[in-house]
Amino acid sequence: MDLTNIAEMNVIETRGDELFVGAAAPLSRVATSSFVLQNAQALVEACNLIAGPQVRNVATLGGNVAHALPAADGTIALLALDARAEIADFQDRQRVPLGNLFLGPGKTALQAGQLLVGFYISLRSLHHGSAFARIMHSQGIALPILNMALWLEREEENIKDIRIAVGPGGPLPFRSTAAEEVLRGMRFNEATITHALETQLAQVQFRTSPLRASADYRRHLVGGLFTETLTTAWERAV
Amino acid sequence: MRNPITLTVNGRSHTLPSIPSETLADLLRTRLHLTGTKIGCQEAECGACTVLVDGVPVMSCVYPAERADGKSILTIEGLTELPSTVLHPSSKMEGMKEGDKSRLHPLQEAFVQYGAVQCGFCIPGQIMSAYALLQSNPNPTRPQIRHALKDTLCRCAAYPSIENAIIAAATSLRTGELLRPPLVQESDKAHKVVGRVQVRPDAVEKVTGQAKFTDDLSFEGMLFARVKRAGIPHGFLRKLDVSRARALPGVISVLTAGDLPAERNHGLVIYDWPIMVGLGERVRYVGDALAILAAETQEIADEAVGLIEAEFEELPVVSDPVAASQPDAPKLHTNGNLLKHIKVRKGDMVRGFAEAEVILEHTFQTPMMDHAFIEPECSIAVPVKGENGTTTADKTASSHERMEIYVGSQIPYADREQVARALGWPEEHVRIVGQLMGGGFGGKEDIAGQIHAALLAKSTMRPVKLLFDRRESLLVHPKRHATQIRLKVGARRDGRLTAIETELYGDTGAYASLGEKVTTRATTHSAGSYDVPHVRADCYAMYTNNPPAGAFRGFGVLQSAFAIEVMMDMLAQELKLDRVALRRMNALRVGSITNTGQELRESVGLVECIDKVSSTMCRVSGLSREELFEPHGTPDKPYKVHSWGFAAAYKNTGLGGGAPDKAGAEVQLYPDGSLEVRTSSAELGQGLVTVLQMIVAEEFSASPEKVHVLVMDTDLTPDGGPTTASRQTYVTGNAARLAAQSLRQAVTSFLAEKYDVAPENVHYIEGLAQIGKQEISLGDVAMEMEAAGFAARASYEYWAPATRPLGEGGDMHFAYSFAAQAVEVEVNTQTGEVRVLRVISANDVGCAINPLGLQAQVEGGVMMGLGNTLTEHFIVQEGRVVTDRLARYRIPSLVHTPEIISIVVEHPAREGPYGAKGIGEIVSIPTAPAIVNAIYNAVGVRIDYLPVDQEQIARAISGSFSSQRG
Repeated sequence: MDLTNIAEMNVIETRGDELFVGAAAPLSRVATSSFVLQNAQALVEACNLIAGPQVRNVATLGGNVAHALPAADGTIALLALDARAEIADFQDRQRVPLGNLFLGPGKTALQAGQLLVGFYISLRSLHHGSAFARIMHSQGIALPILNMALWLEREEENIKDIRIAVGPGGPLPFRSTAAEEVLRGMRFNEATITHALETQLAQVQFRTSPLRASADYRRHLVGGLFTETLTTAWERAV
Repeated sequence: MRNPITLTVNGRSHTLPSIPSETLADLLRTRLHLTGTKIGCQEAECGACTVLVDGVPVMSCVYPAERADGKSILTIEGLTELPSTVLHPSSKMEGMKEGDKSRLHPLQEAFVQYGAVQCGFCIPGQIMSAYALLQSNPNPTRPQIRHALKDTLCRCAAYPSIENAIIAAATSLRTGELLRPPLVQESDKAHKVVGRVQVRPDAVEKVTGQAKFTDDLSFEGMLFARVKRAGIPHGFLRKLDVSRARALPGVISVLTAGDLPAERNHGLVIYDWPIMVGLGERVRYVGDALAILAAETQEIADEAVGLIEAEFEELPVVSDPVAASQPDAPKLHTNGNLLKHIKVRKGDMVRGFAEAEVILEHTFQTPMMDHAFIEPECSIAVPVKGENGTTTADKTASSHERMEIYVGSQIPYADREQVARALGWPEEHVRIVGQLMGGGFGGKEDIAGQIHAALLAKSTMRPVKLLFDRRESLLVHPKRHATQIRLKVGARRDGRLTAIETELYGDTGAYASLGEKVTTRATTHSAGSYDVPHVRADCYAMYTNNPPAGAFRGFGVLQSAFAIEVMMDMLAQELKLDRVALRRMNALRVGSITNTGQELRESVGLVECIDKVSSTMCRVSGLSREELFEPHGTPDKPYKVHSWGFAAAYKNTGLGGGAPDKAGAEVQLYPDGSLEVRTSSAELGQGLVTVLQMIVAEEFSASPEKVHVLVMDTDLTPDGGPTTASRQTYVTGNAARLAAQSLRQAVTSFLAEKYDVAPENVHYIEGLAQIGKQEISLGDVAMEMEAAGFAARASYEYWAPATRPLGEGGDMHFAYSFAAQAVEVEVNTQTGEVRVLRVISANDVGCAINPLGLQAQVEGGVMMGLGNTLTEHFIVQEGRVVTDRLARYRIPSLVHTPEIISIVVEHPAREGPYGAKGIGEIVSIPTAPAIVNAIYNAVGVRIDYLPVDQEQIARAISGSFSSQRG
């Protein structure tokens, strides 16, 4: 069924203190929306890296999420942004935390008759910042070896709050909750980052993808990507 | 009942019945006959199918046609019809006739003028992607162009020219000024036409979408074919049930091996490749054909092929050439698994290694690679009844039915022979009508669908189209040989090479194809472009259960050059010598004796290539020779390290090894003053047609636009031989030159006689014959000759200088091209990622007949070499192809493109046309080792396999990953 003509699923707009991104909005519109850039820069960065421009003009954010891949760029960005998914069926609509959508690799909690309408993201306040980055394999399938999205709230020189999503950090899109715990309320400095990285590596479950990346390689890459996204988000959270 | 689709295409509204699951590309191509939109992969990877839907570019090959309902579509055909405000008069556009649509969009004009068009298959997609960009961003930066064209792939890969063309067009559109011409250096040896910048004769039709490739053709009553492939790498076919396919309504014919009327195999050298594998016979690779069928529609054919059931007695898989050489390996062919043991012997190895003060030994690996031409293989067989409608001049065939095959083929006459033998017909009853080719690179030399289409056309007496999908293309056609190369190199302390011993294993896959020739070239070139007194090389070309390996640009030399050029850097390091000086000291030069005992008497520009690349490297980087090969950190990102790498190479022009190497060409003068040159030699995007056009124009002092080129038709053009071995400019170029000279002499004699002047007093200038003070147009000359009963036509069969077989010494080849390349890379020491920033490529081409075409070949050659090194990994596991989609076999795109600086070196070959020799392959060969050497210089990681694995680089830099664990 072609859902791209359903007006509500195509809109990108602010609703109260939230940003709504329709599930059928093409990635190119998400990536070039000033609303999204203003409020969810990590999502813009992620959508800009999915496929190429011709595909982004057709492929949707809902599609990126609904494949339930643990390293889908859009999913990882939305997860760090604490997005809520709106699901509709014939009776009513409900909002669920994005993470609740996933049951396993390629499997969502969506049931027959249920429709993913769109995503709600809290509007950015002062001192909030987000960032997304990824590392690709130069040969073969265009799936990231590792991607990471990060949102944080800054309070002077401290990290007041933070969310970190890592793909593929497990069978489901992964939130690095242990590292978040370590960082929350901490001063932004090298010691904190090192400690958080160690915590993250202890929690994350990397696997080896044949012909793409070994689990060891992924563990090796986390530090650089973590430092990069954390620093970028920190600088944005002014 | 579905609602009809109403859509606007190029300003015109259409209402069409809806067809379930139809794509927009199919709707445009088959129902609106807008075949400028090309289909390369049907998986939204290549971008050839890009069109604009309501102003935004989409891949029409996966875009549902129904979704275009109510929308406005712009295709390549629509660009020339846009309001004239955005159109520029294209001044002096070649290929444009009076009254023709004599205007091109500035993007189209820029693509033509900048030489961005080669095979042309991807060009509609490139231009539409660029057009969409310029609509939203009239002044794009280079990074913005790269972002927009990221997924619009070009395998000819003149990406720098594409990018420059877009910038020039954008400037012209913004300012209203005429297009700024490209900066291309003319030949040092320029003549009136030869050596000057010339745009392709087919460029205009390629940028407007008017160019027809095989799949763009349609014939009345045409059927659609599919081939049932074995899908297993090794086994005996025990059962084959085609009954369900045959029973499917719309299926017209299903054929199996039992239906073969004559020859059961095909092959370019050895007839060892089954047309179809019969019951009880051996399947040797996943792509083996078991059955073929033709149906009323492609969809029915697709469904029917899925209904064919096969059962096998599976056998152990022979998956690599070393395993194939073991005594207990299963025997794949009656003579065993050894296709050929190739030997090169020169001097005395014992003495050579005794004289060495340093001996290094190392083993290198190179993988299979796919040509990944953007146009998949397509053949259309059209049966022609004898009494009506043969277009042939051959009257003997008129009473017999004939078969016409429309196909993009690198060797039309070899196709004719193989199809005729399969049909059991005389060769004259088969006509190959060569079509524009969307890239070949060696991958369209073997039979693909020609025979299968012909058999089905014969059985149904209807035209049959057999179009491979991308998966079939990746599974079936011969690949580049995977190799294992062990090198042992001896040298004195001063760097002088004393001995090189090589042992190669080449994986020729299931069938011979050109395997023997390819591995011979790998062996004879295995000591590199150096003068080495003592050489011994042994190559074992082995059959395996992998896809067959055959011709691929570089033809074995790419593999052996990789090994020896990395080895030369290892030697320089061991001896603490400058790697450039080491190569220069040992370089082949005039007077050198090659490995095969050939004295090089002329046209050896290697030292000049090395010197010019070396000095250019210093100039563009601002570094001294010593500093160039040191690691250089990036100030703000210390984990990104730069360095340069260097490599040299040589490659034969022509078949050599004693094979008769000849080409025929015919030149005719017409009453309208135009000339035509005819030869069966193939145009696959490389630019032969431009070269032939220029040569004939040169000989008549005529404008190239007056010369028409007809190629690849076995009824209408004489045999030009295979388009392989970088031979066409030299061999067919000479045939065209000599045919033109012969015609000129005939015209001169006629005029001298008629006007009673000495032949020396007849001259040709600007389309006129000057006889003393009198001037007559060439058209009038043609008419006068015709009236007097003379044909204004001459043909010439040119035989290249004789060569000697390997092992006999003497001239194994009649010419060689030489090259050096330097590459600057950036390696990310954290991730192991490698980026190529700059490439300097110097090539001794003898004479740059068309500097514009040469520029595109240099750029494309570098990009293909870069892809072979960094992005492409053709993976076969136990005979099964893992990389069976373009999404898994990644070829370089504009985003991978470095700055490419081309240096043309011209050491003329005495017998080459105007001194020219081959260029198609040499331009690609040094890239891989230069990149790999640069990586070592940047981060100290020595890579001895392809493609480069970033994870292995990261692992080597960090020592091990385990220390990183928290």
